Amino acid sequence: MAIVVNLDVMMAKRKMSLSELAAKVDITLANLSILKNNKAKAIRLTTLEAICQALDCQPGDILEYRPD
Amino acid sequence: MLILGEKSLSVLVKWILDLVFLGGLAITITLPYGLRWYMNALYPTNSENYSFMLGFLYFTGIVCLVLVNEIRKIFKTLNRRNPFMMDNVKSLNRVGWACFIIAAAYILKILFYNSVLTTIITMIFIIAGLFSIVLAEVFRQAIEVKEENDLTI
Repeated sequence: MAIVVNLDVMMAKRKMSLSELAAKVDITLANLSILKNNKAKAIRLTTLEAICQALDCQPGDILEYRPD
Repeated sequence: MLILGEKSLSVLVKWILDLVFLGGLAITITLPYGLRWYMNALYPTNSENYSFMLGFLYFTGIVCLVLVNEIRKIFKTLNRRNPFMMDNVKSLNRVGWACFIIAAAYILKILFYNSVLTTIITMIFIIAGLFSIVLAEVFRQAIEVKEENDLTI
């Protein structure tokens, strides 16, 4: 997958833990881990919106296109 | 009425299947006595050969028990609310092939001792077999959709 989720970088910048973010975005810790570890096949726009809101960032700060 | 979950229709069906399985097991074990009693006391005008019928009923009976057991396995996963798993696809395929084996045995019986009931049972098993194979493929595709959905965050 050439799309990489850089959630941990942004979380480190905002000094937010995984469980804290899960509570703010209102998704389970398990699902957030799937997202963080690049195991997810798709991300809902509503989820992306909530993450951007919680981390106060743009989708481009979290998602990156890296050709293999 | 609830279809799935606790105290639902699927639990009732599972319970009925357990009874059918135990009953079938009892009948299969006592088949030599049961068949003689049936042929002599209940239906003395029959023309069927005792040893042929014994072998035929043993064979179809055991395949039928396998079939009922596979359906019981599927209902167990239904009652755990997680029916979309690869084991169920395998079970449905096995049910389909068991149906075809039984149908083949009944076609063999038609050649020796034909009756309307035998023909009807043969047709039912052929259709049930085809239905199971198609349903297995539907389940397989449902599993793919479920996996895709599970990995959409």
